[in-house]
Amino acid sequence: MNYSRYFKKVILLILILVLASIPVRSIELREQVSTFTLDNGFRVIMVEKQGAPVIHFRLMFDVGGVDEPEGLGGIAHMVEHMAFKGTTSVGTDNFKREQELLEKMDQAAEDYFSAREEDMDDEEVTELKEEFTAAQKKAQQLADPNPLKGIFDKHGAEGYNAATGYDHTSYFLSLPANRLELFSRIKADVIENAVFRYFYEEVDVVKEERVQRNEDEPTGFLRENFLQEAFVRHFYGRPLIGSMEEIDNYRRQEALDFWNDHYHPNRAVLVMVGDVSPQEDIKIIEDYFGEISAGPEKKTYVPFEPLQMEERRTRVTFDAEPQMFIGYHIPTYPDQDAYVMDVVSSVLGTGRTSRLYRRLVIEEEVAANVSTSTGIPGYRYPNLFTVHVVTKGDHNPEEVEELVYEEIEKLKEEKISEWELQKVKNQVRANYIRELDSSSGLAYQMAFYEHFLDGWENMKEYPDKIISVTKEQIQQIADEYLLENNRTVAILEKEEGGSNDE
Amino acid sequence: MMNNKKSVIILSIFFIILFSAISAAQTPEEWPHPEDMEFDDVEVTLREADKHELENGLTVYLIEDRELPLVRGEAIIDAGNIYSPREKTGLAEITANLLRTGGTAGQPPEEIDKELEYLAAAVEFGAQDTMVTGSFSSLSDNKEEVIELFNDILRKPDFLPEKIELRRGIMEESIQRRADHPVQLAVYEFIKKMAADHPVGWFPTMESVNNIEREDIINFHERYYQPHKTSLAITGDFDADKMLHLLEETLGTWEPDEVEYPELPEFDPHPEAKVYHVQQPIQQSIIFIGHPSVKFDSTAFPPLNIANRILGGGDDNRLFRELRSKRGLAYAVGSQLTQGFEFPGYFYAYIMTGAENTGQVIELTLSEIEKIKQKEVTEQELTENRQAILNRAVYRYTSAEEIAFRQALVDFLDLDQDYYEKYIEQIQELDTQDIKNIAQKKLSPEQLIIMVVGDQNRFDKELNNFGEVENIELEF
Repeated sequence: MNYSRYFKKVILLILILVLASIPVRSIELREQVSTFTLDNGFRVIMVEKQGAPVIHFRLMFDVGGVDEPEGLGGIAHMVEHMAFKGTTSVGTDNFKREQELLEKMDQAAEDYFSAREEDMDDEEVTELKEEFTAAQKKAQQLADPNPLKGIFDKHGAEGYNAATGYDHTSYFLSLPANRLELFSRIKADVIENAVFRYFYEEVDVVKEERVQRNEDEPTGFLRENFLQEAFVRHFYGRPLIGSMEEIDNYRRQEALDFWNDHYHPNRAVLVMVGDVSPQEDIKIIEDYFGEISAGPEKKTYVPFEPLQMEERRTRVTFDAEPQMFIGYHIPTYPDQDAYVMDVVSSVLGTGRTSRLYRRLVIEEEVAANVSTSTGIPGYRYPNLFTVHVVTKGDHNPEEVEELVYEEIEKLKEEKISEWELQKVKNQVRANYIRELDSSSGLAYQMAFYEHFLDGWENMKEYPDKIISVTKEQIQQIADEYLLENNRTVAILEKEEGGSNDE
Repeated sequence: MMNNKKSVIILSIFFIILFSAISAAQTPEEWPHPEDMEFDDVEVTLREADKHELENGLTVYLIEDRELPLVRGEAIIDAGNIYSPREKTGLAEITANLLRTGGTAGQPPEEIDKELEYLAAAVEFGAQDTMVTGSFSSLSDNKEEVIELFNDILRKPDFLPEKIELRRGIMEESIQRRADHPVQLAVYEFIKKMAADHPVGWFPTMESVNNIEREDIINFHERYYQPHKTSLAITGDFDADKMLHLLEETLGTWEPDEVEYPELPEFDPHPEAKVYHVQQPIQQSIIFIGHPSVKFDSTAFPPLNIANRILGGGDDNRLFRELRSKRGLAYAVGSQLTQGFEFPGYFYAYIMTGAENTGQVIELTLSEIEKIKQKEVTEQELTENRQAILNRAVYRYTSAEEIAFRQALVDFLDLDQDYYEKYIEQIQELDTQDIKNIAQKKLSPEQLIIMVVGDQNRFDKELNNFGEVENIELEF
């Protein structure tokens, strides 16, 4: 066992006793949390949770859409897909030969792409395309297009998937608890030895995904336009999945470069929730994840969003009934203002007693639904407080918009009631407990705090931060951020004649 | 599309060094190949809810689970959509919704909302085809109050006229918006055709929603919401004896009444095979291909389930490999065999692809269905899918909530207590010939309904290559 050689030490073994300040009664969480850091910087957080012999795994990298180089929008999402395509040892019987074929295919792809760009005559382009397709086919013959899913499936994996955000990328699944070694063997191998086989086939898949999510689907379409309008410099304004043009021009090597540049053990946190045995489990993890090499802490330069000076508006037409996003730039955690905004968001948009729901849906009946959020597009950088409205009947978005602003002005003019404030605080506390009940929710929160908020333990501070919010702070925050010149409005409406105009 | 981008600092030197280092890297030789890794079966401690029947016939399933200070309940009531008369489709749905939003025992809904939200608790009701589910969630300190409210909401609704109108408006809005989301539209039209006029395929229309009167809602509630037609699973941080006592004092006083159920038409398992097209000016075609299938407790279900897993339902399946991974034709592709409890379930494949691939994709899908009928699946496919099912059994015991609810559901649906064990037994005995036999018997290309929502101006092939085409004019 190379256990002692690589393994630094168990840093913490903590029994969480949280929330002693809760008025109703103190809540003891009996989960045991153990944390470890391997020599290569790979962090592991294990949470013992009662129940069946299963473990929920979440492997989160602090790499996402904001880390993409110019012109490669969506490449983080693309490599997330490619991380399901196997490794040098899984997915082919003859990697050496496959590698040669992949390189030949890359060359054929390059020839075809440059011909396409240079506007060569059609015949030549067609010919190069055929050569490229033939090279793809050849490379296919040595490779399994879907080598990991079957293995995990057979061993009882549930919910094996991944998600790319602007802030981070996660791979997650649940497995029977004794399959930890299978997880470690495969995932460590993928980090170090991923092979991007079936790359250009997957580019086509991602193009279909883009159409499905953001082009044929009105809410996705509006959201993309909204973010582009709201952020003029910050990368939160770029389409997370990339533009069609960008996706269409990905090169396999560029994707591999992005993978090899960012996805290292020292950029990852693994959270395991469930039937864990920390002392034994860490040895298995060490055997695999401990064997892969650390990479540079290469952080991306992400430009600041300049202060917004005037309201921005965008209108898109679509073959669908109207809807609207309104967004205000706000700070993010751990800035105290972000916690106050969470309370504001809840007062305005959480539940049937919230001010916007009452006003728009119940009293004035101008909307079928309204929701608010402080999490769009992400949390790593200053983000947006958003209001999303689905209008009702003949009421147009502008009419509803005015009502939203009236409610926002009321926040500034009058202090909210004691009852409202206490309600929100009660809800935050209860939601926090409910989150602890869900393995996947808990794993997500812990990984996020560990990466971006200075350690998973800070998660425990959240309810206290909310409980400390005062009525005066709510008024101040509304005065400071919920201003016309800090606002972006995006409206989707039906085109006359009803055809889809993109 | 990309505006206002600023250059990103890229340390290209790292690229080169790293890449050359990594391209030389290989999986350490001493690592086992994942295909060769074997593990013991995990042992599961079976947990069961305590079942109690109250005097009025209401059945309760309780599991104490003290890990967090939460209490959750979920009731199943025999008052689902299938009992709505056709001309008032939506009646069951609006009734279930109005329980929570239409006022309770003289208390306006705004007061109920305030009380629940202040306690950070929730009570919600919703109608499905064959049942209504009503749930509550509460911090354990407030469980008495919340259960009392739940009892009132369930039994003493006021169905305030203005709240009926509010809900009617919201339902109408969602009907108006049906065509906005192409996938939702395709599912809606496809199920209507597969159910061939049976109530499980009825959806609310502007007209049917408009036909619903307050009297109808009151009568529907009185007729179908009955204690002996209700099962309630409660789990969490409570003392079971005290909980039972509380339930006897609240829901236990609910007087049962005999229910007269409407006669439901036979479910036609062989609706007309046809190609249906909904013209929409979108880039993708949303394609559903399928037909009604078998009931969950039929002996055909286990082998058919494996056949479906191999075809398109498992994590690693043929449709995904052929259409997505190898050809890049779709992001969303697969097949499903739904669990039909009271009526047969459905078998269907689904694919969302660029409109210009529509014909090709239908052909490939039909040929995969044909292949699984004509040729035995491989031993490896069978083993992997069997193992997948067996290894997943452990998740049945991950949460007390699921365990108790499942028990309630099994009784509600009148399934055999050991239905799951029987299912597993059958799964273990299947061989490749069984899979082929069942595919031949139960996957019927000549009965397939093909639903395409998409822009025919972009199709690569005319849809009439696949059968008689009927164009659907949208009408809500």
